[in-house]
This record gives sequence, structure tokens and C-alpha cells, in this order.
Amino acid sequence: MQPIVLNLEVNGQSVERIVQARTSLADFLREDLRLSGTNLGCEHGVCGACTLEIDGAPSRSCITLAVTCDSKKVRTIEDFQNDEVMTELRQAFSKEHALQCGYCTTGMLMTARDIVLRIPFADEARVRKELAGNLCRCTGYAGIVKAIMGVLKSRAELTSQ
Amino acid sequence: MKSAAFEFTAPELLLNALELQSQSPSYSKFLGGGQSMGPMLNLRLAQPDQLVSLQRIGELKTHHLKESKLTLGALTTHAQIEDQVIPDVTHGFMPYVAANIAYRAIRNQGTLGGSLCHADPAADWVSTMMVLDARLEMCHVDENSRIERRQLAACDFMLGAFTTQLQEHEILTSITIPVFPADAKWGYYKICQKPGEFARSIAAVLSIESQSIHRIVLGATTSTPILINEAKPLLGSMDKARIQATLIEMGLEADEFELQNHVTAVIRAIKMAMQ
Repeated sequence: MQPIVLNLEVNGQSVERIVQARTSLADFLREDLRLSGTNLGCEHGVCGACTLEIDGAPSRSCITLAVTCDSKKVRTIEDFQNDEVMTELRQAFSKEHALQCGYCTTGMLMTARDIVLRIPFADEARVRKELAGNLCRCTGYAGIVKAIMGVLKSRAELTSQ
Repeated sequence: MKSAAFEFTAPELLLNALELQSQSPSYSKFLGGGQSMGPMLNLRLAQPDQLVSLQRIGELKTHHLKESKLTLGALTTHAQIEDQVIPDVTHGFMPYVAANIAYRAIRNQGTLGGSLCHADPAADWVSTMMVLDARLEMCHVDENSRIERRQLAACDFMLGAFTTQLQEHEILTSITIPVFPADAKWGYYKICQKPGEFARSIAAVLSIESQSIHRIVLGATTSTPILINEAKPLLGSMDKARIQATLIEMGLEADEFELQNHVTAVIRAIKMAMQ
């Protein structure tokens, strides 16, 4: 099988690599770029652990072929160190015990950030619905939902002032 | 959980994609948003020798509103419909359906056309396009390298589970839906144990008195969704026994539990439409 030259932007850096067509975006990031913050759970798009941003939209990197990301912008959890919303979410996750083993946390944070930015007035039921695509086997979700609700609330208070 | 090897191309022109497919000596598949193909590859349920990605073909991402019809390119994503980046002409029906397909991360990549071609009986768009009486346009390349197009009603497109009228060398290019008149009423109900999972039952209802349209579609069956065209008496009565008898008469194969799910979904969709 013919390897393919892949050009894309990962976390703000231009990257050029030779890849196999069958390599998933998640494997490419983890194995080739050593960005191991993205986790792989089910590898068929159900568990949400591998969720990251492709051209600004949360997407599953386990069922996305790396070659289909040519000339696209990919952002992994490693790129959100100084992101305002992500910083608030990290603190809220810590405060509310929204993680235990931490395996789902990358995907949870990516999804949580999308909820906060896209649906700023989401109520708890909506947050739970939006989180349906991210599985956590430790927390029972209560802490995760509480953390997201907390960030939504503090941001709403800020904008209403 | 890793895909088998395959060749990959991503042409920019529809003609090139059609030629690559028709000239391929081996098992070649078109790739849309990849949200079904991705899992199928990883599970090795699909092991194509070649994938021809359609993602770079601009023509498949356009939409236009003309007279009383909206035409959507096959690569329109669920999220674009959910967010109404594409104008909604269905009184909120299509955005409602889109918003409840799988999960947001899937909806950002998954496409209307891809979903129809994959033809999972539990796919939302399969049932929705039937109740809307959508028209699908497909194309292939002839021996003179000319693109030939043909149209088909959504109701005639699906032949069975994961099987459609689409030929191996054909691409679904666009989906055309009618603009709803003021008196159009719709209802949509699906039974899922968890939001976003594959539905146990899907019921779609459309009632347009001014055009004498009264349709019910029941999806997530074992095969093609069931279309009830002259459904006015059922919409009026909401009679459980009558709905059940009609579904069985129309060929529904289901055990008692599944039947209960299907009848409940239909009644709830009717209630939603008629309230």
C-alpha cells in the first residue's frame, strides 16, 4: 500500500509526515507526534475518550483517518493549557471530583468546552444530554455535570454584571 | 480494532471520483463523513482495497433554495442542519431530527448523504427523507467520460438493511426536499435507552391538510422503514389496535416487545404532530 504525505496543522504547528492511509488520527497523534493526551477507548466512536478539535469542531479521532485531515487544523488537549474556558473547567473538575482514573477526562474536557461555548444557557438536563457521547466508568457523572454547571453559572454571572 | 490496509485518494472533482471508482479493478468504496465507515473499518466489517474520499468535492457541499424546493448537497453535515447554517424550510423538523442524531462530535463530521447511502434501518435520515418525500440525485460516468445523473424518490431508494438502489459506481450528489406550507405539522419520536444510541424505534409523522398529505413512517425495523401514505384515519383516532394492525399489514416483522416499542413511538409522534 502506498504511504501518503500528510500536511496539517497540529496545535498551531505545521506538520508534515508520511503515513499509511489506514492510520487513524488518534494513532497518528499518539504514535507519530507523541501527543499522548488523546486517549483511545472503544475505537468505534462511542466512548468519546478520543474527542478533539478538527477545524474548530469536536470530533472523534479514533474513527477519523489521519489522511482525511490534510490541510486541516487539529487541536488536542495539549493545546488548551492557556485556554480561558479550559482553565475554568480544569479547576471546576478538580473542585467537584469530576474525575477518578482520568482516562475519559481528555474527551470530557473537550466536550465540556464545546457545551460551555456553544450552549451558554444549558440547564442540567441539556448538559447531561450533550454528555451522552462521553462515557465515564468511575464518577457516575454527578461531579462532571456539577463542574460544567458551575462554569456555565460563573460565566453567566460574569456576563450579566 | 485497527483498520486493514487500503489505498486512499481524495479527488477534487466529481468526475475524477467517479472515474477512480469505475476504473478500480478491486473493491473500492466512496467515503463521506466517515462516521459509519470509520467504525466499520476499525471493526474490519469493511475491508475495502481503496477508499475514494468525497470530502474535497465542493459541489457536494452546496445548497440552494429554488421555488418551493430546498436542495442539499450530499455532504451537508448533521450539525449544519442542527445549527440552521442551512436554512430550515421544515418548521424546525429537520433541525430537531439532526440535533438528536448520535452525539455532537459525530454530527460535526457525519453527512446527510452518507447516512442515506449507508442505509442503516435505525438511521434518522432514512425515515425522515421518506416522510418528507425527498428526491435523491445520483450520478455516474458514462463511457465518454460524461457525468450522467438520475433521480429517485427517497421512498424507492432503500431496498433493505444496508442495501440501496445506489450502484457501486454511483455517487449520491444531492437531496431535494419540499418547503413546508404554513399548515404543515410534523412529529418525530424515537425510542433510545440512552440519548444518541441506535434507536429501537423511530416514528415520523407529516400532516399537510392543504395538500392532502398525511404520512406516517416507521423506522428502526429489521429492514426498510414502513411508509403509510393515507394515514389520516390513524392520525385522527390514535387507536393503538388499529395502528398495530396497520403496521403488521404493511409487513412489520417484530416480536411482542418490539411491536410495543413501535406502536408507542407512532402514537407519541402523532401526538407531537397533532398537539
